Amino acid sequence: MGSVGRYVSGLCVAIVGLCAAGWLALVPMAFGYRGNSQHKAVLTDRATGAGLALVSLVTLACWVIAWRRTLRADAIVSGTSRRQARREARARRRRERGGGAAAGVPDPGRVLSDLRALLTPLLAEPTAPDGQAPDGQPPDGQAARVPAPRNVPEDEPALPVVPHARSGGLAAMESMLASAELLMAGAGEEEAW
Amino acid sequence: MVSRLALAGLAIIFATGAWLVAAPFVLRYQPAGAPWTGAARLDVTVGAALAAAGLAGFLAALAGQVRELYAQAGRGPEPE
Repeated sequence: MGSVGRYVSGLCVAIVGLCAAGWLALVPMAFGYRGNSQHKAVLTDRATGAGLALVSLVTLACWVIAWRRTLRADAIVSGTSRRQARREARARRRRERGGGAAAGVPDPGRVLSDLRALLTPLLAEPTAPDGQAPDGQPPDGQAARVPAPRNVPEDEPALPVVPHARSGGLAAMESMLASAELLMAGAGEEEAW
Repeated sequence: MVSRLALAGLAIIFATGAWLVAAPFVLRYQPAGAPWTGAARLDVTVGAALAAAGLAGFLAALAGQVRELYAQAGRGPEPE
């Protein structure tokens, strides 16, 4: 008798207990107990039957739960109950919806930083042979730092240091970035409305 | 936890059977020396059957649990 026999015997005994409880509840009526001494027997049978029914039901439920757990652990039945699977599916849908909304609204600060990092090298100009930039800017090798966007907090990681760029191009790029920032802020407000 | 509760349930069923056997004499609805009444005979019979079933179920479940413990420990029970 393996592991199954253990659960089957437990279930069988619990069912026998339930049957005995039913029998004890019916016996006084079936046999028509009468008299003072029989009154005690009726009380005993009914009280014992009620208690036995309760204990047998609890025992039956415990054996069923224990057996189901073992079957799940052995992967004989599916790992999750239907209710649990429904709950997990609901949580997954909620997470996807939340993730989708987050993906739909990009962080403006990050977008602008990425844009800045992409555009700045394009504006970089080769330096003059004497090491001076044509418009009197510091020599190459000294890097120029592009200012951070307005909505990026101070504790954000530092922006990439890029080679110095033409001042006119940089100003134009800064203007474009500011416009983009304004557009994104406006779009965010519109979505909030 | 559930397994222990289930075992305890079987033990209680056995105890209930024992109580049914003893009840006629404890509650004195079966006087000593007098011929057995129908109620006493019935209670003793049902109690004995219940106690036997409860004891057998308890021992079988306990044996299964011990076997599982041996299997988890990685070796079978010692041969006799």
